[in-house]
Amino acid sequence: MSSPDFRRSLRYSGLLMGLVVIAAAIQTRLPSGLEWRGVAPDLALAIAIAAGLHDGSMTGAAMGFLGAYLIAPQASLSPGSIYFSHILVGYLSGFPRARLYTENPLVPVAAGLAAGVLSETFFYLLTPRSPLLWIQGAAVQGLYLMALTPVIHALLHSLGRMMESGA
Amino acid sequence: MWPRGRKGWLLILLIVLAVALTAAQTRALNRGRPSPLEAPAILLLKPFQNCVTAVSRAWDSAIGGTDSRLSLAAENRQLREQVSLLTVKNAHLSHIAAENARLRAMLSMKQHDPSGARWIVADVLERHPSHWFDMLTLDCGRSAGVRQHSIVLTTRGLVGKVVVVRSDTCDALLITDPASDTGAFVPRTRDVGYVEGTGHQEMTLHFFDRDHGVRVGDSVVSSPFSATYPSGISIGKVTAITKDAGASVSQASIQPSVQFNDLGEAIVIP
Repeated sequence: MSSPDFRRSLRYSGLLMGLVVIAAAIQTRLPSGLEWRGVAPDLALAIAIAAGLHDGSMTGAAMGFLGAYLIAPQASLSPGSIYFSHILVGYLSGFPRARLYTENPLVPVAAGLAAGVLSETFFYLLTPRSPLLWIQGAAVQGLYLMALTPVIHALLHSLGRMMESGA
Repeated sequence: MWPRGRKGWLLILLIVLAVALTAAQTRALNRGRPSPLEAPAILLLKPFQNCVTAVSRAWDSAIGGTDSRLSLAAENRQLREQVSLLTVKNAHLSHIAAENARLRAMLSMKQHDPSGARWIVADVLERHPSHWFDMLTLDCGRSAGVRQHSIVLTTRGLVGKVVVVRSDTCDALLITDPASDTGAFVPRTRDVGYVEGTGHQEMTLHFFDRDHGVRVGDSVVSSPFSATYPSGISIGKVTAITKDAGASVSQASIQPSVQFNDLGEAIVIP
């Protein structure tokens, strides 16, 4: 790996991590302000999914882990479920990148919806509670992530291009 | 971005780290203390959270001011700015007056507490970021004498109990959480049972006696037989009763006395 490439990669990773920290701060400080139908959007997860789609499974998993590490202390009763749903969904989000043409805007939309449902399902399987909570959470979180993922994905795409042209 | 051929190992490393952190946090939770491994996450997030709070307050204040200006401009365009300023000040004073009234009510409750227990008035810092658990964080902790299972209430009624204590903050599990069971008593009929959370802004009262005389509108308070909560604290009002002929016990829906979504302060009894 050449030195400018490595520096660019470091800068990009730093930016991604910064985005996750900001998302976690908003998510933990304003959950009731962002709630709809009792469910708040998982912003940190949206970034993990977009990072997975844009940069591959490992980046998705790493950002999922970072988001979970920041959110888990505020979610004292369910740390394991948060870690595993975020890491696995971030990791799986990298799969369409290897198999599909991700410039298509429908890919992040569909990936966001699927990831929202999947993360709530992981959470439900790891922390069994009322099926009604699961259905409501999966539907609303799916819609949130369906809307958020393409926007964050486009942002990461622009950031990546800016860094490439600036290097 | 990642070294080729090492991705599998990196994923395994992340999972091992997650298991270790989960185990440490779960172990710490059982002791009612935060895990030391959480400290860097809390420290890292805190300045950003403070920024989010400051921006949110500034935004709320700007929206309030704009609304006032728009409504008053129709009445008197020339006095718009002055009225707007006064409206913002008035909104601020109303907020202080409402807070004052709530604190006075809490003080009055404290003076009438026969047990003479020490009470802590705490600000609600945040609601839990996941809809899976109904919890909130309060700005008092071990340093103020809060312990695991300390009672949390407001002048309107019961809020829940403390499940995690940190040095300066604590997390309380609300009575609306499905994991919450609260011994309940209906003073009008003297029927007893227990209230279970549903995860929504309503709870279910399970009666011990099938032939109860409870009606819609009856108030429900904490039971004198409860080992967790002091007796007589308002839980809510009955909004519906399920009379199922096949079931051995009947149930009632309860509307909580406390509006959990706009909770600003709460009392903690250590």
